Amino acid sequence: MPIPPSLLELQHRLESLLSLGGSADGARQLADAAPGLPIVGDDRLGAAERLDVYASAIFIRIRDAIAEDYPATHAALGPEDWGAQIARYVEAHPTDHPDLRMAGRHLPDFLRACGPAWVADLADLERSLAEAFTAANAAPLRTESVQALEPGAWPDLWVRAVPSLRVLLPTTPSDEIRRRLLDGKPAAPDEGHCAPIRVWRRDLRVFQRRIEPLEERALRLLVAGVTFADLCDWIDEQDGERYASEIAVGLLTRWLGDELLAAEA
Amino acid sequence: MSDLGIGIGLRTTHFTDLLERRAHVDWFEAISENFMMDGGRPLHVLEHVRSDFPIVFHGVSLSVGTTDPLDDEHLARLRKLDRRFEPQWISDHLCWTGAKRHNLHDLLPLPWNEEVLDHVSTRVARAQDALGRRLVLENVSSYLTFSHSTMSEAEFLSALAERADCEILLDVNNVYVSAFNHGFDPRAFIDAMPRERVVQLHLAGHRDCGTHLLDTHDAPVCDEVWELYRYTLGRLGRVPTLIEWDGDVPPLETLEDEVARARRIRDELAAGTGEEPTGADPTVAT
Repeated sequence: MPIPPSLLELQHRLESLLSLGGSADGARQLADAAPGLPIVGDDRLGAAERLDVYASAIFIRIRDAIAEDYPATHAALGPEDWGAQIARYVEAHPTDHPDLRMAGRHLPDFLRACGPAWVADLADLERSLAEAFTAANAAPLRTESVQALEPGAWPDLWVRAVPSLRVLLPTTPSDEIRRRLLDGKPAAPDEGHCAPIRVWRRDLRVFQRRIEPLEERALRLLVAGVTFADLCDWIDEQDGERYASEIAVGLLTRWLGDELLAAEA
Repeated sequence: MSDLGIGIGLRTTHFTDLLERRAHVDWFEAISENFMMDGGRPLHVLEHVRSDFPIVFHGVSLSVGTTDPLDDEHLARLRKLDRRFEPQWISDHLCWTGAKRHNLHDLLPLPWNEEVLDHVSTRVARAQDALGRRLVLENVSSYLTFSHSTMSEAEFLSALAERADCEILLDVNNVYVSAFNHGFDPRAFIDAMPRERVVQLHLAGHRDCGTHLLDTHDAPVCDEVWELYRYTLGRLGRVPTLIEWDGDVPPLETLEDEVARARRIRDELAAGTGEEPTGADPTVAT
């Protein structure tokens, strides 16, 4: 009777085999490997078939969990293509996080490397929406608090984005494409024009909005935080023809209204 | 351990209902990993539910049986949840979920032998030290067994509970599914459970695939499992019970109907022994 493998050896062999659920020749590989493993089979279900119950369930669970975060990307590719892409994705990025929701976090980059830009842009947008949904809470900076400031305190006003803010610079109209797909319409990636997008959460709801290129660049400063004076200086450098503080006040008013700025802790 | 009564799993499908009305259940079980985030609606709903009901955390990724190192970050996140929400207890599964630092997101069976018992009991003890409290471990549904097992799963689970000083979440549906898949007597499994260690029961639906039963949690509890539940209560007494439903999750009312059925069974058994009817223990702090 052969010596049974150690637990470590057994788990390493099984981990490799059970990752094959989405692979085209996974069933054959399981059938080849099963006789060498200490697995009890019977007339009803052989060892390879028992392994396949797990391998199939593992792939389906991961494939479907990722689809929950990428509903429009899933719709764009269709069930068959989605399954094939996820099988390749999981091979390139084996799940390594205890939270299943994190399994698809590399998908936008993966799709960008192997498919059309509009699909990757779409996945990028959906990833941002999912991340914003569970980003850290932050009390918003209130308009009243800012209005109560003495004029002399404005230059030192510290403006920082809420943790849920994501700023996207797609090369395709990913928001319009997403809307069409979720309405059951064709993606039509060549229609419409693209613009920067900001995604953020206000209270418990996630929002997305198209923005001007200047705001897109300014928002990137806000992720780390910046003083109002530095924001004005930066705008002045970008757009010397207009009065920088006026533009800054306009942006600030919009951000306060959208609860995009975090109050200082 | 307190008798919490009959509870259900906290699922996103019911979030809106739960914010609008009080569910006709006694307690909730929250999947730990689903709340290991920084903010947003899931945590908001959990806080709301916690203000009205006792909760427990039920994990799927602790992987007490893997040969990978224990995931300290995961344990730290679990400890943070524990401190914030003060659950009645924290449970996970007697299984492994991956190796080589990969997570397969499935509850994989172990060989039941002394080598593995040593390995798992050491890890459970370490996890309990990290959490500062006992763990509750659940028997999983399985579709394969190993030829170098030297004891039954029930013997292994009992020995583990004793050696690691942990407690047991007995999933009655899993016992039924595994018994069918491996040809053992489900009542013998129940009989082998140490009564003083079993703090919770699970009930769920499964799917009959012809050659095997698949633990899908996407259907009502079947009559055979209700009957095994009745048998289990007869053996173990009034143990807090949780109805699990994870796939094709139906409206909250359907879950409440399942809860009512579990209550009726408990009350019928209690009537025979002169015990109080089923319901949340009024002394349990919420």
